[in-house]
Amino acid sequence: MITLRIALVSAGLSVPSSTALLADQLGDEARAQFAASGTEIVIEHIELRALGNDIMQYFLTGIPSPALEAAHSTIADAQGVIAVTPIFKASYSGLFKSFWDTVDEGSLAKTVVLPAATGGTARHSLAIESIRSLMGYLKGIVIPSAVFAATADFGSDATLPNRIRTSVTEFVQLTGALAGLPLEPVQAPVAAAHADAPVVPGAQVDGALVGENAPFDEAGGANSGSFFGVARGGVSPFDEPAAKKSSHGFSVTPFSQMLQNLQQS
Amino acid sequence: MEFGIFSVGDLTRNPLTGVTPSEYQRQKDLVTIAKHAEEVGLDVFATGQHHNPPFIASSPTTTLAYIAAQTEKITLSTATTLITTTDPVRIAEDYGTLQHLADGRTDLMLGRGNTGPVYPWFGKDIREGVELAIENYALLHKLWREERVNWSGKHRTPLNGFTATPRPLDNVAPFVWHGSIRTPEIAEQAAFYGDGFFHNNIFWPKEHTQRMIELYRERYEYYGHGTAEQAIVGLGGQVFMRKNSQDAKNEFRPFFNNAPVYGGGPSMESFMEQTPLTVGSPQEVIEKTLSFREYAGDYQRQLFLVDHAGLPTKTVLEQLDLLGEEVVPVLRKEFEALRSPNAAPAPTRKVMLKRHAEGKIALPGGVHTDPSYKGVN
Repeated sequence: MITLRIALVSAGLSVPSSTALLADQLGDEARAQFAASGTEIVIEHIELRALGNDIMQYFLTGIPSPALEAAHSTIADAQGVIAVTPIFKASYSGLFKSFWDTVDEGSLAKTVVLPAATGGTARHSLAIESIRSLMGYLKGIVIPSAVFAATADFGSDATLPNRIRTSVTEFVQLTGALAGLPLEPVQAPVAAAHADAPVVPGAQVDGALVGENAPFDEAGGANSGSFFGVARGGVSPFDEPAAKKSSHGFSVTPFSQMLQNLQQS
Repeated sequence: MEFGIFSVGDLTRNPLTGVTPSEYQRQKDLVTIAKHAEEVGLDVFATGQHHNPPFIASSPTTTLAYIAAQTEKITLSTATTLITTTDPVRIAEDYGTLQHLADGRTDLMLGRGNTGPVYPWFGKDIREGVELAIENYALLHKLWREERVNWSGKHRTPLNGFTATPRPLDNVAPFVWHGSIRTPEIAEQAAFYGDGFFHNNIFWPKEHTQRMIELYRERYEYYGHGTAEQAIVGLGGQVFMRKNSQDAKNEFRPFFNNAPVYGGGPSMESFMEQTPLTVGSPQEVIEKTLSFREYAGDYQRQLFLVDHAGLPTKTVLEQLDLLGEEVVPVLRKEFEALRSPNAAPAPTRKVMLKRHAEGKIALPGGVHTDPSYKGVN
């Protein structure tokens, strides 16, 4: 049984922090949904606040501290990343960006990303889209539905749990599909259920259809049981024959190929 | 095994006096330092190549030739020769001339350069750095081995019927090291040609150094130049010593804190924990240097950086005294005792001439022509 590795990166600064709270909720929902689909996962939480000095040291000296190296390793090994940041001054926070600035190019290749953010009010919610281009640059595969939670949402928003659930479903489905897993369609209970929330069949709640013919329902939907139409149990499009790795872990273009590329360019 | 020093030719303010030496003074001091390195019994002096302040090493062969004229035994090398932004024809000519003047007591270490703006100053693009390193060295390699060269490529205008003069001394070109901190393509290049691989072993955690060297060794064997154990590896290092370890730390700390290259970030102690920098007693330097063998294997050249961060020349000469009297003799003995009989000797001029005479000339790509790379188990 394959074990998927999920990295949960959060850039919250205050203690306690609403960013950390959102990160925890996303982590819990992911754990629940993966479990319901029968997939084992390991979630590693990277709190950027603890790496603040290490990140600065890396900028000034080029040397990653052991703690920062460990975080980079976690990112490189992860099949999925949940990235959570506060919105400061109309964008992801400086700490969030600084961390990703230290990560190697292409570190998120073939990695599914769930972007999430917290902010003062819902008027800042579109700032979350700035995460999308940052992750895209790192070659991350960003799910369509990012999660934005305004401070007030934690107390009163009936839609937040559903938005969390929708995003995590996309995340779980896509991560599973890329890993070549035959995922069962998800019917996981919402981790922090608002049992009173009205469910109107066919209604749109925050962009996600609820009830019959919702894309992720077992019964219906063109992509029943799979998110991108990848056949259940099918081979992941990113499958590679298992390459034997040397102790150094590099895979380098052979020199004759490099010369050839040069001559042809 | 060879031991020596290298200088990056920096012009740095002395934090204790507030004085920066003049360029004239620093040029002359560099020569004094090189001569003293020979006097204390070191094997190699290297310097090179920067094209902007606060450095004065823009013309390495000029400096090295001047030193060669005043020394008799020490090998003159570079750290580094910019293979990306220097015309390979000029490298062939300058280092060819130096080789003759120095009676063959030269080799060179190629690097790509870490200063972005240098590329456009010389009409190049830093994004093509690796390509430049590959194409330029292929031409340099050819210029030193073929009398009449016809060549065309992407990054230089073509050559037709060109002969690099002077021809290599005794028809054996200077030995070439390829230096890289984190670019595996350069380790691959070194392995392809059967040249040496040098890692500066300074700012990078040792796990990275180890990986690069392992890659080079594996590919050296793949290309049929010898076994992985026989590959030719060089390492840098940084030291500051006093008889008493705490004295060394106290004395060097203001220089460490002042040096821009240390970033004004982590403390000297955490730098020492995370990198090969050793500030302490000669015994500590011996122990730390011997530990490099654990990740580099048996290697052929160890160079130390001792003259930077604004240290006064008098202090640098004292460092050389400690190296020559207390550290290097012990390292020679200890490394020799640990060395595998299968390890290659240092690629000195004598060794390279002998190999050439025996017909053991490394062919680029060795005996393998299969371009597919699957890695070795």
